[in-house]
Amino acid sequence: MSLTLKIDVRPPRSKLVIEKSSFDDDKSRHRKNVEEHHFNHMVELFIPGCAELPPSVQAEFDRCDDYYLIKNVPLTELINKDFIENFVKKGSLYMLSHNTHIDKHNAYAVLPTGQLILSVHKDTYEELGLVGQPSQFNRKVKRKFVVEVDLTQDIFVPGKKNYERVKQGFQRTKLKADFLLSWKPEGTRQLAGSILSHFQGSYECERHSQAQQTSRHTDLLLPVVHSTELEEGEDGQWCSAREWYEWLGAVSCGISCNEAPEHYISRYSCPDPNELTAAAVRHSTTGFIAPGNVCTLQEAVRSYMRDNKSTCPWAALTAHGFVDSPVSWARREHGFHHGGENLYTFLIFRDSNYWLFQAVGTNDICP
Amino acid sequence: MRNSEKNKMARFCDFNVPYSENTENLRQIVEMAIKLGYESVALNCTVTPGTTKGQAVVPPPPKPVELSEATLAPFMVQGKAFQQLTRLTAIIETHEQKYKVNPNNSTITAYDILAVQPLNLKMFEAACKELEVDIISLDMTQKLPFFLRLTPIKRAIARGVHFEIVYAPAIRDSTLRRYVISNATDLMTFCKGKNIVLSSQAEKAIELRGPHDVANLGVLFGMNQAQAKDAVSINCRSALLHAETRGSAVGVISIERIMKQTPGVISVERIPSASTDKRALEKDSGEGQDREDPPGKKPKLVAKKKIK
Repeated sequence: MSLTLKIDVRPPRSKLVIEKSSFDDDKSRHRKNVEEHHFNHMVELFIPGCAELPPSVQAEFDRCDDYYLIKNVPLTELINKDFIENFVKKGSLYMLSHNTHIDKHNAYAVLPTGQLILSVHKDTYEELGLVGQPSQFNRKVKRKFVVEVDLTQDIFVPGKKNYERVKQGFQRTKLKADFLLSWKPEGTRQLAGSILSHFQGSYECERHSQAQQTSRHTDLLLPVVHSTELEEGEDGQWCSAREWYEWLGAVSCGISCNEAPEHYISRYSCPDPNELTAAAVRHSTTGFIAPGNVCTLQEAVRSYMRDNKSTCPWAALTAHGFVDSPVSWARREHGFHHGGENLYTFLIFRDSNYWLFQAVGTNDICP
Repeated sequence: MRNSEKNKMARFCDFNVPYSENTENLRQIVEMAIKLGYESVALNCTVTPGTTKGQAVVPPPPKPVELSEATLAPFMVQGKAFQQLTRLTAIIETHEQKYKVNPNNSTITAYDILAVQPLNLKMFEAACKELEVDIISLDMTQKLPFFLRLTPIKRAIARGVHFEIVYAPAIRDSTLRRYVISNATDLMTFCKGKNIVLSSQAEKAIELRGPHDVANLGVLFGMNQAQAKDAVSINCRSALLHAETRGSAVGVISIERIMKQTPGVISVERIPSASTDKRALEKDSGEGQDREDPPGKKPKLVAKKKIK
């Protein structure tokens, strides 16, 4: 018997979806895409040909809501009737467990649609006694399970069978976690801070504001792209979308692209053809950012681009999701293999066309 | 059960940090492990039983390394704990030495994990087939003194015994690296990437690598991506759970019906090893029926039985 071993040296799989459309198109998915990406950790904006961030865009960055960190919250608190009635049903609530690694620990999230998502290990799942689906990513050996509890259901009230079952499960397992929380109330009558007073009495709460950072580039090489062509031009007039995206990643990581190809540290060079721009600005905000803020930011960038005074050929708006979030887009499951990236980038052109890049890691469902 | 709450998760483990009297060096290694993202390490004592006049020289388990609060701060924030285990590795060559490694020895049971390093084929087969150990470690830095065979390895996997591959020698020297990779791929042809534990055996802090890097190295050994990651997380956990069942002497099961009105609902509990070594089986009427368990039988952690 001959035993030969094949070593699979391919890198872990990752996916990149690129689509092009126009903001004016009725069927454009740009709004849906932003709204469905519930948990954003960082939003960054890159504008070439512009030494300072436009004031209208800066104002939107400053207007990003604060978020809260609430420590040691038992899950029974999330199915509290008052909590559901006053907050889950009356606004968009974003909650994500903090400091829980999804590949090592249990992770929880509350979506603005009212679902409580639990991504739990087999042991916890069996103890919990709730119905769930085995995780998509290790179907052979069922190791992680995803349980969904719909908090907004009319029949999900104390006294009903399902409610009591969930409650008993949470009480038995004593699951708790630190939660990042952001809440946007419906209408303007209520203040967003009122959710803090709900938790403040019994749990340690912290209020955080988003951290902003600006970096400026001078004499940067920009790859030339054509707004209607994703593929490379036949006679090399413009770069392909993939080359451009790779370049953006390099710039946003601070990798120098102007080095000679034989340079020791980085051999990366800007794709051809390229043009020199005198200045470029990159602004990022980090924290727990609700999709609503990203939407308004996108609108601000669009109106700036429509403005004739601006000289930049395009602007890139990127939103990074949390690597340990149990969902990426909408309710699509998300996991962590060697990296848990889930991010999207809008490349906004002046003629209201845009390219949308959606990138996910190994343990992710194609967006 | 000790640490049962903490063991639920697939945390990153390094099950081979060689214990030495040099506490400063040891502390550096453990601190580096924390920095790299490990949540559990095992301090390893290597012995050759029966070397001094027929006496088994097994030192008592090493004390955990004292760590400053600043080092443990990231764990404090997350409300988790860093786990330090103890592990004994016995190098066995003769039958006499083999019998020294029995789980009835109280010094040996004081260790969390028990590993053997067989030096010849007979001992390797014995370790795979009958010895009550958790990890079989092979010295991969040289040409293996025997050919690996499928049957004993299959048997070991069926019993839940894990094989260990240490990577620090591969970092130290290029010749050793060649041997480690060749031996590891050899082992992988038989065990197909199952039941492998990747650990460091780092003598200096600089020889440690992060868990994801180690998993990448596992890919080079012939595991697939998922298996390689399991080798630093899930497999370590199952080795530890295997150790806990072994520590509880002969498996004891008590079957109790909690609600008499609903037939078929059974709760199975585990009684601590010290309390009894009998199997108590209670029936509906509450009659106790005691049975002696055959000694040396493989312990079972959880037994499921349906009474009609």
